[in-house]
Parts: sequence; C-alpha cells; structure tokens
Amino acid sequence: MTRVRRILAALRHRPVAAIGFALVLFWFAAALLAPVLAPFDPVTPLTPFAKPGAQHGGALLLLGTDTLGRDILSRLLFGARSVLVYAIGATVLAYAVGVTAGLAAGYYRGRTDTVLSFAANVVLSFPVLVLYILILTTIGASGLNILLAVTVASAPGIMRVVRGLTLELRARDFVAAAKLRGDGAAYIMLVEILPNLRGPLVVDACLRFGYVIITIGVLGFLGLGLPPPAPDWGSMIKEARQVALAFPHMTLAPAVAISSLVLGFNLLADGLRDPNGRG
Amino acid sequence: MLFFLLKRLGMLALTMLVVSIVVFLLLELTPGNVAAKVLGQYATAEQQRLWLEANGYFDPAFERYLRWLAKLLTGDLGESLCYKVPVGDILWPRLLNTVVLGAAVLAIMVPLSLTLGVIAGMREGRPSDRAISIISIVTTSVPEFASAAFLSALFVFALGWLPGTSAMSGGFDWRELVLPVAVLVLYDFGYVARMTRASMADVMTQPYIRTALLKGLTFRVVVLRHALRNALIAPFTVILLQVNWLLSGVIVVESFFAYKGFGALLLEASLFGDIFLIEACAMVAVVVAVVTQTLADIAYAYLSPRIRFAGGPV
Amino acid sequence: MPDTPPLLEVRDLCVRYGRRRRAVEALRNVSFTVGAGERVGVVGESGSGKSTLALALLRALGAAGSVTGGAMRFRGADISAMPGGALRTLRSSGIGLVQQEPMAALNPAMTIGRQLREVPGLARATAEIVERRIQAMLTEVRLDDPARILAAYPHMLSGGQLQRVCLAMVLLGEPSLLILDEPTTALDSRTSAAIVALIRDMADRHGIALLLISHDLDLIGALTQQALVMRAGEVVDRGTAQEILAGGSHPYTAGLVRSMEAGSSAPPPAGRPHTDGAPLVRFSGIAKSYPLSGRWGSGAGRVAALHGLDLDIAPGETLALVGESGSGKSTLGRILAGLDRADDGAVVFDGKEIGATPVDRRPRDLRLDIQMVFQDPDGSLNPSLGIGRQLSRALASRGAAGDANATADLLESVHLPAAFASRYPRELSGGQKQRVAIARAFATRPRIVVADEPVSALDASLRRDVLDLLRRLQRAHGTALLLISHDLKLVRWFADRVAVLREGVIVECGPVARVLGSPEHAYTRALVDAVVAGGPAGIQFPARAPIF
Repeated sequence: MTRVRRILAALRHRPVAAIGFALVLFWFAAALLAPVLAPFDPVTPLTPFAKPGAQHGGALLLLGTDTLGRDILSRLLFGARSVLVYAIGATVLAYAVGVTAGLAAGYYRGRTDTVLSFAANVVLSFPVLVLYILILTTIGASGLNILLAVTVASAPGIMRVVRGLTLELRARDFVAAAKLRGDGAAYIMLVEILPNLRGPLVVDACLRFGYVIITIGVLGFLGLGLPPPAPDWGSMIKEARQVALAFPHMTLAPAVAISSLVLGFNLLADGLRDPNGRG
Repeated sequence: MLFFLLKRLGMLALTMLVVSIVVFLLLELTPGNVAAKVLGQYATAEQQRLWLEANGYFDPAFERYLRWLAKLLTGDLGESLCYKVPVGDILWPRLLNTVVLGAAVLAIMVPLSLTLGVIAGMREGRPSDRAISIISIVTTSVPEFASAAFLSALFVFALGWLPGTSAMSGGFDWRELVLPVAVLVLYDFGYVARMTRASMADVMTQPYIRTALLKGLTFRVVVLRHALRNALIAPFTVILLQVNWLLSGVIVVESFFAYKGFGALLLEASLFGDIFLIEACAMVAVVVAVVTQTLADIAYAYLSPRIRFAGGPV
Repeated sequence: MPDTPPLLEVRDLCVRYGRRRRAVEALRNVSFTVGAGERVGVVGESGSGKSTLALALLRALGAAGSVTGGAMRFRGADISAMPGGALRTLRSSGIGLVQQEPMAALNPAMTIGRQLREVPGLARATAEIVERRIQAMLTEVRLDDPARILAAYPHMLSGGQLQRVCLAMVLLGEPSLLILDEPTTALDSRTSAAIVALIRDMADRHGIALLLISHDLDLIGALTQQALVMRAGEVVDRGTAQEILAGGSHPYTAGLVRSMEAGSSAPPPAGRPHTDGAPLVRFSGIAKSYPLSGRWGSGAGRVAALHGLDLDIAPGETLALVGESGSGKSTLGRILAGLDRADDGAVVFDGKEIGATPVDRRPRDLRLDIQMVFQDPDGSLNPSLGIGRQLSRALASRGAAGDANATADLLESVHLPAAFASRYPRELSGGQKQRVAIARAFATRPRIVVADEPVSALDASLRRDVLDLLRRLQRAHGTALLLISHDLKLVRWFADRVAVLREGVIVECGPVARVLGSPEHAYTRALVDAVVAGGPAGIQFPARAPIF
C-alpha cells in the first residue's frame, strides 16, 4: 500500500514517466474492459472498406472497418488483450529461464558458465528475427509456440544481464560473510544475490516487455502470429498493406496502438532508471 | 592477438556447426512433405516416392546432414527446392541488395546518432538533453512495420512524393530506397544515440575532464580533445553489434516494401521449408554476427589502453 | 596594507546542491583570506564541504551546485562575475588545483606528454622551449627519466608518479595559489611523505600560497600556518595550525584531535602473549600469485603476491600484519578464511591442515571458527536484507537462538539500539555498518577473526570507538585477531605482535614495542620514518624523497 503510494508520489515529479504510466494503464484497461467497450464483435463482418466515422445500423464505426468489413476499433480493443496476455506470459517464462541460468553461470563459473554461455552465444548470434522465423515456420504458428519462441530468443539476453550482475555480486564481502557462516550455494544465490538484482531487472523487464510486444507484432505482420481470424495488431497491418494506399486508416490505427503501448513501457523504464527524476 | 583471432575463428566454426545441426533437426521435424511442396499437389504418391528416393531422402538424417556439410566445405551450397537453381545464384545477388540497403542506413544513422548523443550527453540535464532523449525513446518505441505504415501514409498517400513499393522492377532507383532506409534509421538511431549520451554524460563527470577545464582550456577543446575519444569507445562497439540487429529489421522492411533482399529471401525460404536455402541464410547470419562481434572486441581493445592492464589483484 | 587586496578573499560564501525541496546546503557563510605566499589548511571529515569549497573557488561546481550567497575575490576581482576569458586565465595561471585521485585526474587515453603540452600558459612558446620547460618541471618534481614519463599513459605509472605529474601540470601554469584537495589519501604512507616534502619544497621555491584541504591533522601541521576546521558546511574553528593541533577552541576540534591521537596515547595493557604452547594458526611456505590478464584475454605472466611466507598466530593474541598496498597482506587473510587458495604451502589451524580446502567445502564448524571483518562497510552487508535478518542468520548458524531477543542482545553488544534490527544498511552510517559487521563476525563465536583494514574507510573521529569495540569483544571471548593494516599508529596502539610484510615475505616479526620501537630491518625503519615524517611540523624531513 505504502509502496503504491510512493510510486504515485514519485510519478508526480516525473511527467515523462507519468505519461508512460498512463499509456500502459490505458491499454490494460482497454484489454480488461474490451467486451464492455467494444461496439461490435471483433470477427463479425459488417460493411467492408468503411471509412472512419461511417455508420452501421445506427452505430458509429469510429475507426472504420477493414477489408473484410470487421470493426477496427473492436479489433484493436480485443487485440490489446491477446498482445498483453502473450507478452506477459512470454516475459515471465523468459525471466524464469534466464534468471535461473544467469545465477548458475555467474555463481558457479567454470564449466557451468562455459556451457551456458556458449548456448546463449549460439542463440544470440542469430539475428533475433531469423531465430523466430526458423522456430515458428518449423513448429508452426500458435499462441503456445509464440511463447516458446520468445522465451528461447529472450532468455539468453536475460541470462547475460543476470550473469554479469551475479559475477560482480558474488565477489562482494557479504557473500564471503555468508559462506563463512556456513550458507550453501542455493541460499546464497536466492537470498543473498537475487534480491539485489531487483532494481536492474525491473528496468530491464520494462524495456524487454516493450520489445516483446514489438516482436509479437512483427510476427503477426510476417504471418507467423496468432492464426486468423484472431484480432492481432501485426496481422491487421499485414492484411491491410495491399490496400493501404487507398485506405490508410486500416494500417494507421493498429500502428498507433502498438507504438503507444510500447512507448508507455519505454517511458516508464526511463523514469524508473533515472533516480534523480530530472525532467 | 593471433591467439585471440584463432580462438574466435574456432568459435565461429563451432557456432556454425551447432547452428546448422539445429536448423537441420528443426526442419527434420517439420510435418510437411517436401516432395509434395516441390512437385505440386497433383503429383502421385509414386512420383513423390521416386523424387524422394532420387534426392536421397530415405537415407538417415545424419547421413544427409554430413553430405550437405561435405558439399558446404567445397563451397557448394546445394540447390534451392523453391527456385530450382543453385542456392548461390539466388543468395549472392539478394545479399548484395541488402548490403546496399544496410550501408545506406549506417551511413546516415551513425553520424546522426553519434552527434545527437554527444550533444545530449555534453550538458546533462539541459533541455537539449531531455529533448534528444525523449525523441530517441519515442522513435525506438515505434516498430518498423508501424513506422513504415506512418511514412507510407504521409509520403505516398498524402503527399505522393515517393513510390510505395521498392521492388526496383525498372532497375535501381534511389527513390525506392528512401522509405526503407528512413524506417530503419528511425528505429535504430535512438538506441545508439542513447548509448552515446550515457557514455558521454559519464565521461563528462570524470575528474580528468575537470582537470582539463581547470587547466584553463575552453569547453569546446575539452569536449573535442578529452571527452570525445573516451566517450565513443562504448557506442562504437554498439554500432558494430547493431549490424546484427539491422538484419532483423531488414526482414520486416524488405517484406513491407517488397524489396528483393536477403531478409525477404530468408522469409520466403523459411515459409517454403527450402532447407538448403535456409541453411545458407543461417550460415550467412552467423558469420555476420560473429565477425561483427569480433570486430567490436578488437576495436574496443585498441581504443581503450587500460584494458590491457585490467584485472588482477591490487 | 589596506590598499592591496589579499590574494584570495572569501566572505560569507554559501553553496547549495540540487534545486527546490531537495536542495542541500553544502557551505554556509564560509569566510577566510589567504595572503600571498601564505599557507592555510582546511580540516574536516568527509561531508564537511571542504572539497566543495575548492570547486566553488574555481567555479567548477557543475550543473547541480550553485553559489547562493557571499563573495569570492581573487586579487580583488569577483570570481563569480568573471567572464569566460578571465575565468580561464584564473584557472590556468591564478589558482591551481591538485585533486584527490591522481589516477582519475588524468585522461586515460592520452599520453602524459600531450596532457602537459596543452597547458594554455605554454601555448605562446615555441615547441622547443615548451619541451625544455616541461623537462625541467618534471625534474623539479623529482620524476626521473622524463622522456619515459612523457611517452607513458597514466595507467603505466604509479600513484606517486601520477601525483607528481599532476603537481607539475598545475605548476606549469605558474599559479599564485595552489589548492591541494587531499593530495595524499590515495597514496601509501612512504609515498605520501615524499609528496608532502615535495609540496613544501615547491611552495618555498616558487613562493606560492597554499590552500590545503585534508582530514589529516598531521598533514595540516606539516604544511600550513593557519587552519580552519569545517563541519557540515560551516567553519567551526580557526586559528594557527599549532592552536588547532593543540585542540583548538571548539569541542569538535578537540574531539578530532583526540581521535587522531589514538596512536600516541598510552599503550594498552599488554595482551596475553601466548607465544609458548601450540599456535592456533600456522602458515608455512605460503605462496600465491595471480595471473595478469593480457590484452586479448590470454595470460601475460603472473604477479606474485606471496612467496614462501611463514607465520604463527597464538590463541587469543592480536597479531598485526603491516605492509604497503600490494604487499599481499589481504591475500593472507583470505587464504586463512578459505576465500582464496594458496598455490603452495600449508595453513594449519588447530593442528589440522586447511589451506587446500576452499570455504565451500570446509566443515561448518571450521567455517564458523574463522570469521572476517571487511574493509568496505558498504560491501560487507547485503543492501537488500534487513540488519536483523543478517545477524540472526549468523547467530543461528552456531545453533544458538536466532530470535529477536538474541539479535537485540547482539546489537547491544556493539552499542546499537535493538530497533536497528528492522533497518536496512542504507539507513546506517559507515561506522554503524562496521559495528554490525563486527557483531556478525563475533556472533558465530569464532576462535579467530581476520580484520582487514577494519577502520580505514571510516572517518577519523569514528575509528577509535569501532576499534575499542573490536578489542572489547575480542577480550571478552578470548578470540585471536589477525589485524591487517597499513596504519602503524593504529597497530602500535592496538596489537600485541606485529609482522611486517614486504613483497610477499615477512621481513620482521615480534612484539610491537620492539619492532616499531627499534626496527631491525631497513624496510621497517623506512615505514616508521614515513609516519614520523608525516607528523607534526618541526620534525626533520628527509632531504630527498625516498625512492619508491
């Protein structure tokens, strides 16, 4: 409770971070309330190629419809749901794997580190997207597979961050003191080291979360996202690309949506990182 | 130095080996039928069987892998299943197109991001710093496919200044290069600019900068002579690593603007399950990644005289 | 002479860091003057604002700091109102500042030569004259082989050499006032004695006024005539250097002087010299070297820390291990605790060889028998865990009750209130953290405690209390103590026996009074002399700096 209040108080002095927080909050609310807020069903065709502001059966098509006549606003709202659910799931999974591997590599060093670091380097030596494409074209595009692909591709980066921090922390005197009082490796990693990673990892998670959202969008755009007709921001741009020159609203709306959501997390990360709260 | 390079070369070979095996295994697990893809859906089961037999598909997987590896070592990349021509014939021209695109992006992005980063970090906390920082956060938040949509809507739909696709069907045209380059620069410059800013801001707080100012040198001289070199070490390595990132962005941009480059080729090959083409593309990607990483390390060691003596107890 | 203004006049100077509600007053109504050729000392502990004062005088406070009141005049000219050109002239040839950390003060990516040649005062001379002046200046600051120095990068030189380079750089501008901000804290005792002699010599020869900023009263006594005492941004006391060293007129000054004199007060009742009977710890033939990491990550030789060291520690005694930085003294403590492994030799603890077993594989009871108090109070406590949790874990490790009562008792034993159990390390001062660290070390009822420079990171006024505490706990439990220190004054006051370490071997070992009173080895003598040389004025300085 006090922590929430402290964060809110901190945001008052950081207008930039506050804007980020507001954007994030907006999309979370949109995702939660999508069934209430959406004027239409996101997959039911209405009038194809309707411009923003057109009418359908007395109801306003605020952002128009797409090539199949589905209401774009409703698709955006439901799309927020899927992107947030998958982004959260993938980030949590990637952190579980990355933090565990990073702690082990950084604490034990030696052979454990060599093996884990080599595996991470192999994955990281792919351009990320090449990796996604290879994984998803072979195992097929589905929600679960997106989770797995994002985990495989992000965990090595997280591992590197954690490993670096752990290497530095394990050399601190308080770790030596813990060893001298008889504590074992598991206790030292989980109780002595892990809590000290909280600060850097929160910032890293915010940035990475934004990047995961971009990735999910890119996958949708390349046709490797959630299978149609699920409302997916990336797929919406892909589907409308052919007619974008005549109907730019079809690509602009999802582009604005994904950009503002990512921006929210990046601004938040910037605010969290800067302890002086300049700005 | 020689030892270091040899070690890296070994690392490169090992990474390529592991990656090629992983790709091979992944494709081995693919449920699709290669013969059906190549011969079309109207081929009979017998025709498919004959094709598979003729192409050695009934041999064990590791045997086929070793055959591919042996051919790779002689420089033969195999034949594309999708295009039915040697992989090299299609890979190298596409790669060249992407190199043109990437070179244009770097030529604009590097000076732009370094300049902005140095200006921002030079006087930390000033309005110029905040403005540059926020601009770079905003631009890195817009994914390539979204900014491609924005820029197309503006320059193609609203203003009509630029062509909407970049297939270069009528030969090379620089106007078709503008939007792909702009999209990539927009997405990538912010990261390098922020790195440069952080590095510059850190250097400006160092006591030796104060020493230089207290000698009575002007701020300009201090920035140019004392701060710049130390501040650019970290961003320089980041730029080299950025090449690797660029390859990801290139896939999206080439696919959006129908530019015939390496990224689009990789996507097509993957969607088709064109094994030898995928393997070749993956090898190229790994070589690019490891070579840039190595260059970054070498550059870092040369730029920083301290690193030679770092480590060891005091 | 009311007509000629003093060289430097500071009146009611106020400096503030930060803005609005978060602003911190760093200086409040500071006033003093420095006449031409005069030598003034500013004494204060960390956080007293003394470094801020130096930066304010050169308008180098940075973006966060601002002068909010008062005036600073140099030869009558208002420093705050100087335009850019005049300010640069002030910096290049009016006031020279030598900063605290010579390594950080020089650009790591430029050779010493380039950094010296760009001094603005030299710009008008021809290259040949510049070269000659620089060579002469380097010789003057007693740097042998100027050609090698000029071609070197900072990381290739020692701390003492770098501080000489910094001094030369400032003197090339021919300033009339030299500000020295803790010029010797980053150096070991022999080097700093040489630097002190050099500074005095240079000031004499060039007739330069000095403003010496230091926490070290001995240094103030050795170099200045007048002194100010600062505390929390205010001048609390002032007088001649002799008056200040004698205790001044303010209770704070008196306290400061007392804490500095810990070493010269009566020696403690002699501990029980358990030199007969079996030793608790026996080091024999300990050798340890570290790899030097090369440019490309491959080995570039090894640097030896210890070679063939022999040493015994008796139960319950306090053995001090002294030596300069880099002599390998910390390594020995870490080898005993199992945090480092010797390449060769044996460590016998209570009759059993333990040197080959790293701490992770030692039996629990053995681990608990050997505890450490570390040098850096910030690194020694986990910043993310509460004090109570860290202490109760240590208590529970020996099977004792680790409950709130036991933790409160433990805190009380180091004079901290029980409420500290719920605090986090960041809420504690350096001295308090070090007390917690001592409590933690004794919580496992160890048979020996290795204290590695336990007070060198603390302000002088805190050192004595922390040491008293350490000694009281040690006596109460009959614990042996291996004190690792570079501070001979502290050792003389605190230890039963002393071992002098030089380049990895013990050159002299015996009762403190004998070893430090009449040293037999030349190196021990040089160490003892360095302390005396840094001492109060009036004591003879060596004519030339010792070679280091």
